[in-house]
Formats: sequence, C-alpha cells, structure tokens
Amino acid sequence: MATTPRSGGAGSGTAQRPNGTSQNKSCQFKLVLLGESAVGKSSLVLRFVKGQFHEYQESTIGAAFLTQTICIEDTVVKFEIWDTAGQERYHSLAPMYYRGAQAAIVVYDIQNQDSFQRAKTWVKELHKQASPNIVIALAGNKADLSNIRVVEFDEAKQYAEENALLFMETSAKTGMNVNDIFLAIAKKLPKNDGANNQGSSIRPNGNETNRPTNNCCK
Amino acid sequence: MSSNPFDSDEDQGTASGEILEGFLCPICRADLKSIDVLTDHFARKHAEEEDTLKSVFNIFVKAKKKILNNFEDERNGAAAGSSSSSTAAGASSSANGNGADQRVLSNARSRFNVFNYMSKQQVGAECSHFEYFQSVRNPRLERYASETNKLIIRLHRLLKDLPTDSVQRKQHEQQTVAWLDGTSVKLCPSCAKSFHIARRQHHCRLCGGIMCNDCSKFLALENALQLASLSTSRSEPMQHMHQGDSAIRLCEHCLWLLDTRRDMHESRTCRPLLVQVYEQIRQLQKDVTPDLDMYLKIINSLHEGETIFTIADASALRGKIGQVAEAMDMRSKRILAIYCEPGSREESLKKAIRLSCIQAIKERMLSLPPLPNEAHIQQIQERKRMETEQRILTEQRMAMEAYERYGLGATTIQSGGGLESGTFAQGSDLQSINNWSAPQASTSTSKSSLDDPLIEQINIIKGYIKQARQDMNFEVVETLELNLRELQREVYERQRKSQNSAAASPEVEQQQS
Repeated sequence: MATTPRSGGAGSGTAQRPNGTSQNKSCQFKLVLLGESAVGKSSLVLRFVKGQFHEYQESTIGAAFLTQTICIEDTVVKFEIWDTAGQERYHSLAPMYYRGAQAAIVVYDIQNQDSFQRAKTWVKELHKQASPNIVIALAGNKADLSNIRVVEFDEAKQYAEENALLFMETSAKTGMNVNDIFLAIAKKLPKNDGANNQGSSIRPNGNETNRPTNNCCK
Repeated sequence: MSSNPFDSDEDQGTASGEILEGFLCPICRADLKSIDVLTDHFARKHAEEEDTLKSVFNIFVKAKKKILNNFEDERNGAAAGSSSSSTAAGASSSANGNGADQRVLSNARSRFNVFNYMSKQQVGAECSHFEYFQSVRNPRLERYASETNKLIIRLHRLLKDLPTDSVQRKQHEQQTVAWLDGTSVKLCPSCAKSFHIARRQHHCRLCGGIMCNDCSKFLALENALQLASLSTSRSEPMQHMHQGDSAIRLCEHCLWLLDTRRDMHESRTCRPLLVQVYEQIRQLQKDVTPDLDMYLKIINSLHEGETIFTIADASALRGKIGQVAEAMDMRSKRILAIYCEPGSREESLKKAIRLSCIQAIKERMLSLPPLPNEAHIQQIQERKRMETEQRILTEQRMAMEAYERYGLGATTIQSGGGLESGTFAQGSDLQSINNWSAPQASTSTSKSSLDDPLIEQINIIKGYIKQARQDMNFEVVETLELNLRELQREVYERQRKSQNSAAASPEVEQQQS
C-alpha cells in the first residue's frame, strides 16, 4: 500500500519525494496529543513517525517531541508533534504544550469508557484554553480490539460531530487509520499562512502572530 | 493513494529521526528534568514571548536580563540555603550542562510564577440543574407517598373490625392483605437464612411479604390506631378491646415507611417550647411598636404646649411599655433557661435571642424620653396661651384700625368677621384657645339648650374619649379630641353669631337702605 509509512530513514526521503524540487509551499504545524494514560498516544505517534509498534511501550515521562513531514498535493507539511504524558501528575504541563498548537489529537481507548470521558474533558479544555482555531481530532485507539470494545463507534462519532471534531478509530498496532488521521488534519489546517513560515526562521509559535495575543485564557 | 505523502525533510533528518522525551520546554526543547523546573523555566523565559514575538532582538535582551536575574536570585537563594529543592534542582541542571539559566528557585517561587503566568480563568458555562433535580425527586417522593398511603389504607382496613379471636383475626388479616405464597420461598429474603421447623415463615400484615421471626418488626396496636387515624380524621374512636397480642407483625420496609410518616407528621406539627416563647416575644415586640411611636408623639405634643393629651396619658402609656419590656425580658430569660447541649448551635441561638431582646429593650424602650414635669408643661401651656391672646388682641386692634380707616360703617360686623377669620387662619394654634374658652361656652349653652344636637354630640364624644383613655387607645383619643374641638368651635361661633345678630341686623338694614 502506498500509505505504508517508511521506517524513518534519514537519507531515503529525497528519492521518494513526488514533485522533487518544484514544490514551492511548505508549512509547519504544531500538533499535540492528549488523552488518558495508556490509551496509545505514544504508540500512535511512533507508528506515524517511524512505522514501528512496540507491544510494551513505556509510559511517557513529561512529554515527547517528534517531527514528521508529509506532502499533500504541492505542500510540504511538517508536523511538530508533542506527545504529552497522560498520567495525571503531568496534567499541569499540558497547557504549556497545547498553547499555540494548531492541531490536537485527543486519544481514547475504545475498551475504556473512562478514557472516553477523559477525552471529552480534554476537548472541553482545548475549546476553552487553546487557540480558537485549533483543529481537534478525536482518535479511538486500539481499534484492532473492537470485538471487546466498550465505547461504541456511533457514540463517539456523534460526539465528534456535535463538537466539530475530526473522528477516526485508529490502531497503532495494525496501522489502521494512523496516517489517515494525520492526513485529515493536515488537509483541514489552513495552508496559506504556512507560506510565510517558509525558510530558516520557522518558529514553533510562528503562526501565533496571526491571532490576538493572550486570548487563550481570556 | 498513488503517491507516498510521507517524506522526511533532509534538513531535519536528524531531528525527525530522534525522539526527544522528558520534561521538554515546548519552545526551546531543552530537557529540564522535573515538572517544577520546567514550569518555572517556561514561566520565566517564555511568558512574554507572545507580546515580543515581532522582535527577536527584544526577546534576546529580555532573556539575557532574566538569565542575569536568575543568576542573582539563585546565588542569593543558595547562599541562604533556604530551600533544599533549589539546590537539588541546581545540581541536576548543572549536571546536565545546560547552564545557569535553567536553574530554579524554591518550589513556592516557581508555583507562584506559574499562577502569574496563567491569566485568570473566566467562569465557564453554567446552567441550572434544578429542573433535573425536581424531575428526579418528584417521582421518588410520589412513590413513597403512594406506598405509604397504600399502607395506611390497609392498616385502616385491618384495624377496622379486628376480631379478638386469633383464628378469626388471621382470616381477617389474610382477607385484607393477600399473603404471598411461601411454598417456594426457601430462604428469608432479608437475612438469607433457610426456613425450617424452628425458623418458620411469617408474613408482613401490610404487604404480605415473607420473613423469618427475627426479621419481623412489630407495631404496637395503639400506635397503629394512631397512625390510621392520622389519615382518616379519627373517624373511629380508640378500640381498647384488643389487649391480648396487641401488635401487628410488619416487615422492616413497611415499618420504616410508617415511622417516616409519623416523624414527618410530628416535625410538621410539633413546636418546641423555644419556638413558642420566641413567638410570644415577637408578638410583644410587634404590639409595642405603635405604643412607642404614640408615646413619643404624646411627649412631643405636650412639649409643644398642646392640650390634646395629658401627662396622665403619657405616664399610663409609659407604664404599659414598661410592662411589655419586663415581659420580654422574662421570656428571653426563660428561653435561656431551657436546657440544651453546651456549645451547641441551639445554645448560641438562645444566647442570640436573649441578646437581641436586651438590645431591643435598651434601644427602643429604655431610651424613651422621661415624663415631662407637670409644672413645666403648665408653664409652656400658659406661655402659649398668653402668646395667642396677645396675637388675638393685636389682630383685633389692627382690625379696628382698618375699620377706622374705611370709615365707621359696619364696624361691629367687620370686627366679628375679623375675629372669625383670625380664628380659622391660625389653625391648630388656636385650638388651644378654643380649648380653654369653649368649655365655658359649652357649659353655659348646655344649661340653656340641652336639646341642641351639637351639644349632645359633644357630650357623646367626651364619653368616648374617656373610654379610649382607659383603653389607652391614644390614636382614637387624638382624633376624637380634634373632633371635639371642631364641634366646640362650631357651637362657640353659633353662640356668638346669635349674640351679634341682634345688634348687627339693624346696621345691615341701615347699610342696605
């Protein structure tokens, strides 16, 4: 399949770039992953960035930072991914990471009703505190275990529609929908302001100049 | 998808391949080793970043200043040795080799900074859950109410003509409430012990449920009758004939429902002694308020030199107010004497009641002005009378002067009219002059014309005033007195007119001709 992610070799990227050097747009987006602990945030990112899956993924400490670049049409989209730690004691750090983020993936575990409730509170918090035009995706992870699911697809779908979220059920283990959800986010993100960021002076918070200052909490 | 959209940027190749993990600063991506260090670092170094984003240089200057400040602060903190966490954090960051800017101060300091950084949160969306609460509560209440009512009705029927004979009684009970079939019930539903010869099945007389003897509750027949009569307005008198086994076997649930009902009824109807006494106090306080106002009015009027009220009135009213104050004081003392747990809220309530009573008595009643001195009042009245007399005299003189100027024509009539107009114009001031002059007039006229309806009316009103004084209804006294004055004035005027008319009529005729 074409969408199979490569295991992130550093050198091999140039050869497979579809349009070569002709592409003139590049943008960079800060994306943050939120959700209860052990729902598979790190696994999701690892699958997306490296195409790997570890059965016994260790729990994240603080936060993890990864990047991945994808091409949509003629635009190079670079994701700066902040994979936050889900454990409650790290909760206070989360605002730091989703502040200024253009996209967020709120992950829950389809076998765990509590994690779905937690995801809802994350969505609420993002709506309240994060950038107003943040793109939020809801990911029901561990879809390979859908035979012992607790959270029904339709329930989550309905919730996502009510809150204008992107929604997919994903599986980091099988790779199902992992790339698709990142792609969907990339498509939904506004690209025009990305052109300004082209070049070496790209800053993580570059797009924040466009939005009124301090409105995340006010 | 035809083409692979995933592509690692060669510039960032190393970065994307590497996974950073830890307490990363979201902006400079440095690993800061602990939550506190990270939050502190973020708050200090990147708080103002949004405001100064446009100028990178500015940030640089600021960051430099911050770093220098940090250095200073940190060195001070370390010298004082005040906080163990600061030294520990300092050690860890120096081990990391990231330099002094990542060092932190004490925990408290960093937390403060975090709060500083986070702007105040607004109150979020809110909604009332009262309707939901009601929608949950009402059905529950209704369920209990209907269940209890059912039980009461059954109890009533059960008690209506309860046979004394035990066999008949059982039959009657089973007729009233169908007993559950116990053949398939092997265990007691409430204690889960098996039934056998020694532990037999029993039935609740109200719901027909099954239980063992240990789980049965008993309702004394007297209580049952009382409960039943609660709902049926005591249609039947107490039946004292069931003295034998005078209890009804109930299951726990039915007894609980009945008990709850009784408790509710009691709490609704019972009024503790404290409440009763307090209500008395409130009533006294309410009743005495118009008296207080009235007393002040009387005292004022006396000081004004008016004669509507007498000093005797004031002293009587004062005595009455004193009695009320005494009664309030006594009752509040009685409330204080009611026993209660020391230190409980009830005790503080009682103290507060007592305190408010004392205060009310002090403020409203003891602060009343004292009775005026009788001689003093008389002096005032005397002076007032003199003044009014003086004024009338001057008015008369002025009137005379006016007549002289207009000619000697209708002198007598005019002078009468002048006096009359003066009387009316002076209003309440002249009431006093009427007061001392009118009785003479009325006594003189009452002798002459007993059949005059006005005089009769005056006498009736005088009687009323006497009665009202005795009842200490001073408001009525006031209005009656004013009425009396008017009547007396009317009589006085009529009298004088009739005296004048004889003399005046020829002059009028003269003028007309």
